[in-house]
Amino acid sequence: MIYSWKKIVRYGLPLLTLCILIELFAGQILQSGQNTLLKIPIYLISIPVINGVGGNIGSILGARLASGLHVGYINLDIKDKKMHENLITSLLMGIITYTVLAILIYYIASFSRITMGISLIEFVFVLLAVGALLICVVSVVSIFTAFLSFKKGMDPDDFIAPVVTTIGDTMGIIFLFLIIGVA
Amino acid sequence: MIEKKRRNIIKRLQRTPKWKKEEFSEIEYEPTPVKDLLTEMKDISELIIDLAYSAVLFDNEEIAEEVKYLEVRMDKLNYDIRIMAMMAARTKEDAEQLAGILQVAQSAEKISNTAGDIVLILKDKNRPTLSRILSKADEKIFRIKVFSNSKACKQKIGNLKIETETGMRIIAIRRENIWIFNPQSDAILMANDWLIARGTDEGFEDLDKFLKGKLRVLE
Repeated sequence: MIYSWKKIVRYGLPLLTLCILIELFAGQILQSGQNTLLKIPIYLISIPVINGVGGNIGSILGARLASGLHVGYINLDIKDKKMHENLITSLLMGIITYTVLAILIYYIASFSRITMGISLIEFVFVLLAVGALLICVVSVVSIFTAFLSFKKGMDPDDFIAPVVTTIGDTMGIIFLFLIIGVA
Repeated sequence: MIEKKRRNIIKRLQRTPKWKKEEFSEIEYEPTPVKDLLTEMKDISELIIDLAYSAVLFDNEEIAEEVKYLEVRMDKLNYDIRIMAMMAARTKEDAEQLAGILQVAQSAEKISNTAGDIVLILKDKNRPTLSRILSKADEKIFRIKVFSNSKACKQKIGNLKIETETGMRIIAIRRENIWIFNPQSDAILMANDWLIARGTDEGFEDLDKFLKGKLRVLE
């Protein structure tokens, strides 16, 4: 009916192509920092987790904002109070998830005898810092995509999720290198 | 020749009533939140009844035209609110709540349709006498005095929540020789004001007791 394959391709392909290009860029960054990562391989297993959680939290926030805009309990305004509440909730949710995951990853890694070279506190700190930065960026992106999808009447699922996850992936890797460089 | 034709078309367009243009406007997605749409529908449903009765009372074709326009506008708003509700619903809780909102919207639309029917009386040559119709109505017009020992003195109408608590709508306030028509929620009641209010008998009794100082609070 509404979801004919022609329509899916027509709406999905351009955006997905763009997303793939951005992801390629992220891959290049990852490759350029290969040596740093191989020294402490625990970061390698945490990359999918960082990106996945960041992207998911952004997508959830975006979807909720889009619904809120349509119903009208969120106004089309950067200073809206309800929106700030949503932002803070996402940040809180992200921090909790990242802390739990960091501890989990650390112990799983120690069981499977991956060379560590980093203490638990340090690892949790790095993951939290990356996560907080990532969620901030992803939230801003999801706010703008939600506003745009409301204005233009686009399907939030088709539009917000790909954009937010792509940018989340790229920024996640960049932030990880930044924090490793600082620490 | 062409110039003349064009002028004729424009003239004809100008002669078409406002409601007809609205009726044939296209319905498409507009980014207006459900909340705003519902507010507008509620406002229109209130206004349209006032206008419909006024049109019949004063035998006024222009007001009747406005009623028709609002009726058509209401139809459009009803479509819009459905579109937005469908876009907004994500979870089953959303859908349950929005179903209720749509029901309210549907009722507001029904009210406007009925108001449109009231105006049809104007087309009837031997219409019934109005005083007889009005005396049978549930809502009547009352005149109430604000006594100085009432809690309502020096209070804003909005803070007293008169309309939500009693269903009485204050149409006008007379303060000695000054009239305040259609007072808004920030209008302040003073002692010895005369209120002209519209509502049911029960609402009138409550409000009367309150304004005489017999009731301390409206509940």
